[in-house]
Amino acid sequence: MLEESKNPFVASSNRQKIIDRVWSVIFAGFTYFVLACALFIFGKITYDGAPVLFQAEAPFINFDFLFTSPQTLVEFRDGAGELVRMDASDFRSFKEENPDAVIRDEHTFSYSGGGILGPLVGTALLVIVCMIVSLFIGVSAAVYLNEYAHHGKLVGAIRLAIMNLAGVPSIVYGLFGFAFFCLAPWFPVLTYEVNPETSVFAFKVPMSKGFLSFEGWGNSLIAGGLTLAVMALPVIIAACEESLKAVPKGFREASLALGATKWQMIRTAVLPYATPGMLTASVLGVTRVAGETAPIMFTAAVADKAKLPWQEAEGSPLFWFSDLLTQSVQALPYHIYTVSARIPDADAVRDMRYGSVFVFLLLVMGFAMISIVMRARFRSKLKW
Amino acid sequence: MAKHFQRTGRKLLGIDRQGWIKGFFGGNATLSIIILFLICFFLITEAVRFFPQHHEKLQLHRKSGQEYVNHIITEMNEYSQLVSLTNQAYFQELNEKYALQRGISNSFEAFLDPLEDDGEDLIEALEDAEDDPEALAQAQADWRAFVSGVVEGANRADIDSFGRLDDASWAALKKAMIDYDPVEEEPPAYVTQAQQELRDGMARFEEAKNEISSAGRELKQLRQKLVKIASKVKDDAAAEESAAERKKALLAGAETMTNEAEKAAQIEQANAIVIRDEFPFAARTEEIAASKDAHKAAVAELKEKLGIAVAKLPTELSSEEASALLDQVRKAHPPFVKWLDESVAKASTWQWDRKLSFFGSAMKFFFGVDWVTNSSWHDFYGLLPLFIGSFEISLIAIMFAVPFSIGAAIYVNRLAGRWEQTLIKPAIELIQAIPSVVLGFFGIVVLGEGLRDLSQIEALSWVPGFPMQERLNVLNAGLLLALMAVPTIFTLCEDALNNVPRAYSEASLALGASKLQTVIKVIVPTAISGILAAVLLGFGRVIGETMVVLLVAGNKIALPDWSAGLGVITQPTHTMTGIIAQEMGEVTKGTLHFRALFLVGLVLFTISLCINVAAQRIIKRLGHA
Repeated sequence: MLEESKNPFVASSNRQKIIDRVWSVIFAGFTYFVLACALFIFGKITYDGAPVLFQAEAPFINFDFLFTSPQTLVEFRDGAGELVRMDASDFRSFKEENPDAVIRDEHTFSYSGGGILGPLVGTALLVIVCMIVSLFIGVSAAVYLNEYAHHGKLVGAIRLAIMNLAGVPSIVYGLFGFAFFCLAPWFPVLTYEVNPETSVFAFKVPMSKGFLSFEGWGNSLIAGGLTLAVMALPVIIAACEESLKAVPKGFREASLALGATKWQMIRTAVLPYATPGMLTASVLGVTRVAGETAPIMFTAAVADKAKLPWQEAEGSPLFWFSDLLTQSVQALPYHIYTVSARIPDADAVRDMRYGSVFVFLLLVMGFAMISIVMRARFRSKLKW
Repeated sequence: MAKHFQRTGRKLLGIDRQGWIKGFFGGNATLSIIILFLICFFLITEAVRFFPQHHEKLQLHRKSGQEYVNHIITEMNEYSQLVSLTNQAYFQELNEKYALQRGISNSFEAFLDPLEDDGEDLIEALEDAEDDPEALAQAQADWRAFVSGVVEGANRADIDSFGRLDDASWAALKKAMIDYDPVEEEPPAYVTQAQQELRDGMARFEEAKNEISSAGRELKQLRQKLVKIASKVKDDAAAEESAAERKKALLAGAETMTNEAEKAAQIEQANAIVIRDEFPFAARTEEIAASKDAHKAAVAELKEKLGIAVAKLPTELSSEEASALLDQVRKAHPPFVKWLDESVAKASTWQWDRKLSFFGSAMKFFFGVDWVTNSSWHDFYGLLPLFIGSFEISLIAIMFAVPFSIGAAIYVNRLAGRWEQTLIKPAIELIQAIPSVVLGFFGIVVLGEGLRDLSQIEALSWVPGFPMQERLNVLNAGLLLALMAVPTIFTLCEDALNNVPRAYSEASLALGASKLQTVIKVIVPTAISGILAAVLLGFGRVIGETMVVLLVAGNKIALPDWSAGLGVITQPTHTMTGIIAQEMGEVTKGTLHFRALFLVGLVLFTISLCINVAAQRIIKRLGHA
């Protein structure tokens, strides 16, 4: 017996070492394979998309692509058989200027010409509306959960609700937003013309020519923004709570000991120190909602819009604002969906496709990167 | 300082300022419950109203006889698939075995056009000169000269447009064209010989093919007749349902009219609408009910003729593809015949007034295999193909994602160096931020093409479903979704591994276990609840994904064709999320279609809630063990 027992402190056998080595290489391989896949996607889109956004000569960035709105692209062969592509508006003036120009094999491609100003602006507006609402509610909810609430039934229910909200598919948010914000008639609109089909109740606003009409918001900026806000809520509440939790208990106790009321304590001893964390939360929220397509598909987005939202809104300031909020907007993810799935594949649409995907990816990944860096700094810094 | 922290004692509604502030924050927190409740409420109110409306539609479907006729329609559809397979095989064989003969025959006909158009005068001269040998000789000489001119000047690619002829037969045909007699329109012997060869060679096949396609003639006629009747009955019944309302509206409109003549006309029009208590379905569908025997006879005839014809199909073919197609026909034939009997038996139980249970019509939604909307015949709302599509894609995604994400989590948490840890974790989190529409775009333009090219490599033909027919399919979508699921599973897994107490691994290492043994035998089993929950949540994330499946899954609503075995993964499909995104924009509020989409949404919502709850339970149940 004694001969068989070994020293328990001897190094493990060679065989085991090799097995260990092999498996850790396999696990490392899995890890790097996933990263390589992601890198390939970035690389491919950058390789094909960057030339659309950047150019060789000064100013190096193709501002035309960023500062014009999408329009129809016309492709034709001129007299010499050369392939020419131009935007529909240019094409019209070209035809007026050169009435005898030879134009053969004329093809048009919707939404493939011009740039992506409209979608960019629309996405920005959607995100702004969403963030205003969801930050307001999210921060308040986090303050309640972290500062006021005792571990009661209500708090348990709220946490459960938040956790479940985070798992709801985005398209279901879209359905909900469509039924609640767009179709249901309880949301009022300031308008000069009441829509007789959808309005359930309207009255004239004193001292103006317009009406306050309860007709639902329809496919609009505010409906889309609020739908996104509902989606962002769980993320923002969780991140805000984290930042509140990082504020040491001592701060609160010291403040209360000095005779502060609870609200004074929160205002002076908690919120100022939680602000960086809340900023992180808002960037996280932007990352989550800016990339979403499904919730805005039928609550806010349209494929085609001639003017920018604020150019199209009209009326006195209050009415202008209402008009702005209740307009449908173009949105970058929806634009990408349109050009990549709803118009036929052709060489002429390639630039628009890769260009808008590249810009979109750059924006969203930029925000994601910022949020990750901010969170890492916040976590390492705020150790009291 | 004292002023800063001064308390105010004013109260509003019996609540002091602090109470109001607390209430404000609490109210915002409660909003999350309210929102969850509202989501449930809106989905349920719209979705639940689907069932009675659907029930009514199905009842009308039965009463109008459409249900019965539908059996015949499906029978015909299945049968036409057999016919089309046979036709494909026929032309495949024709093209392969008799390409030359076909080329000769077609090229000859292609030559006729220029000859008859440009040589019109010469042909007339030939006809006129029939009785005059001298003139005839002259005309014939002219004709020959013309023909050889045309033939020599002809562009071979235009005439033999499929490139079926070899050089020798092209030359032979050109030479033979001189012998063409335009008056009698008799093809030259060379061409007739080729045509004869083709006819003789394909005679047996052609006969069988024609017999197969004519076997269903009677059933087809029956279908045409009954479809017309049932559609009419359905339209009339639907119109009559709204008769009372229309009458009321017309009369109300007439009240407001000032022109007497118009008013009278409108009142008359209103009075012309007869309101009956009940639509006479029995009388109107009499003809449909009476054609049950005709249906049986037609099917019997179809079976008999088809049996004879299939037996006649040639077994030895020179085209491999054609014989594969015919094998398919022969294989599909016996089950088809069996299925026909079942179908007829099922159809014969139809009665316009048989009661349709509410439960039964609800099950038609959950287990229906067709999703057909905006059809003039009847709209079907069957969830099954969409559900299976979603499930299939998610399953594939999870199968690919699980080894990678768990492997990566183990590596990063236990095996990797410090700098690797700090870099890889945020990098994988970044993957989560890739917008799904971008992934979908990538799937269309890059992965789809790539997979198809890959699937055409000979060495990989053992992979089920390879070579793939469609670029956009289950596998493509599943792979992209796997990439989306990796960050979710990875992060949660990593957390779970992180939560394993240090003492466990230290104890294991102290006992002499290697690093890997510790991970596999101690750490992973301890963290298994977290890992399981992570996989479940990853599944939840994937099944609710919309844009990738909308763009990449192929959007074909059909049950997977299981005969392909594992190859179903390369078939296109449609999903629950995809159908909502695709059709929601086009429906009118309150229609059956609108509510059906909400019901699909409710199903999705329920699935995701169940997955969430299950994940939480698993963590609770196993977490303390």
